Amino acid sequence: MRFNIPAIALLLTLATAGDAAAQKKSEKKGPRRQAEVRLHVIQASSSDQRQNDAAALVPAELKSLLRYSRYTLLDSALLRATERTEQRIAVAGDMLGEVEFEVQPDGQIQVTVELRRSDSLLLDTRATVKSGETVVLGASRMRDGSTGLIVLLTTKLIP
Amino acid sequence: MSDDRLREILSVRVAADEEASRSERARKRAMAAYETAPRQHRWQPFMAAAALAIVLGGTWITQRSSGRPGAADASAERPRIEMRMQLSDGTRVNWVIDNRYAL
Repeated sequence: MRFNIPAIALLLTLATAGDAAAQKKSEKKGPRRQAEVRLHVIQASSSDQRQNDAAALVPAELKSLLRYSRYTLLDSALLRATERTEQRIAVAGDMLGEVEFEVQPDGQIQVTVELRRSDSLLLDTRATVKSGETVVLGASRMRDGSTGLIVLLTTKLIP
Repeated sequence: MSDDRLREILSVRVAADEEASRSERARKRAMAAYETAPRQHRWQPFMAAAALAIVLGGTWITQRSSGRPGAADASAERPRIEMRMQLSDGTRVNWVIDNRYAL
């Protein structure tokens, strides 16, 4: 078998250049910021059997849009997170949460949230927020309006 | 046929020139049969490798082309809708409807 030496050299050069560019870009991002991330995990349901202790946390306007009658607070969590680092947290006993954030050049924070129960996915979404802003993340299933999951997420950068 | 007649036929000796012409005809028939018969090639290693590559490539293309509709079907089975809205007080809401969620 004949090897095309110039082509291999060109590929190696391009790969090295790409890696160096990525490293330079990573360095350009600067030091990783710290943020305080607050989560309220709420289960919304149409069943009258459940508690309604988190109804006050959910904005009234949103409640009027949703068809749930009960809002149960499953857990609240506060964690200190490092930028571009996946933070894992156990919430509501058997749920595993993963939170990761990155500060955008315009100062806004892009937060990625994932919630799982054992191997089942409950929520995976991302939001771009201002520091200190609370955003409502919700999850439900198609044609199944009996249950929903609501996460109130507040991300505040630590100076 | 009587035994005598059969013995007579079998005892007839073939002339030398006729024997040569018969063998020549037989040789020609054999050559003609050989040339018209489909030729059998021996598999060379590179031909085997090329055939294997073609088979693997064909399998890959088949799987890829059959995989696309499958993926589309799977996504059709579990559609994902992501809604972003803003309430009147400025609160932003990201609501995801996804049948993968085991709520």
